[in-house]
Amino acid sequence: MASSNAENTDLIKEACSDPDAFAQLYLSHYNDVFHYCIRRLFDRHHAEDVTSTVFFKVMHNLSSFDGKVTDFRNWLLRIATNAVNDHLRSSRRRADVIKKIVRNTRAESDFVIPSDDRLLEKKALLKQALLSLRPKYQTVITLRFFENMKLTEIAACLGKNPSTVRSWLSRATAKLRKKLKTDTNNGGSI
Amino acid sequence: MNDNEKYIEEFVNDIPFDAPNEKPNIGSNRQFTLPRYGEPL
Repeated sequence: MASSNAENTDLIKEACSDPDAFAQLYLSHYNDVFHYCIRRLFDRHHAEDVTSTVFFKVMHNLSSFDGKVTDFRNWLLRIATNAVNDHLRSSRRRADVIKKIVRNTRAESDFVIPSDDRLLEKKALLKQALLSLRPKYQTVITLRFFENMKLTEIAACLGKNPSTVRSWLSRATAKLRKKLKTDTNNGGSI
Repeated sequence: MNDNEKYIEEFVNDIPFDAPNEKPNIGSNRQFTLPRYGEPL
């Protein structure tokens, strides 16, 4: 990162009252939040909506952030996790998301070169399997395998005990592996 | 890392995801300004 921690700490403080400083903070962290949201939701439009919600919450709660600048990304990811889980909590919306995913998988395949077919099929299997898990299991899978966070970092991000996160991760990976294998056997060719 | 974690890590390794299209320019006041009467939209 080009800017120093001191500069970032100042920027966070300024962003509490200065819209230009908040805009700068928003632009420098937008990709991180979108990256996480799209790997939880598998849909650009849902991810963009939730990313907006995250920064809306950040704007209203930034003055309550009293951690170090190095904790800021974890704080953002915790807000993003809550926002994604809220988004998925409604069973109706969750059903809509899964239905749209299945529909979009077909549409996506119209725009890619043939060599990408295998990856699209894998992605479709992952979408269905991951979204069928409980939100807390989706969260630890995404943070561990897409954000490449260590167990202790995930625990800090979620405000949970590392042993709890280890237990969630163990159950989540076992369930996801089982679902991926079942789905593959039921029609996938991976 | 146990077998299940290795399996998931290998499975997700090369899956492509969308990148953000573009960052909204919230630093610009222009997009939040309504057009004046008679000004083209």
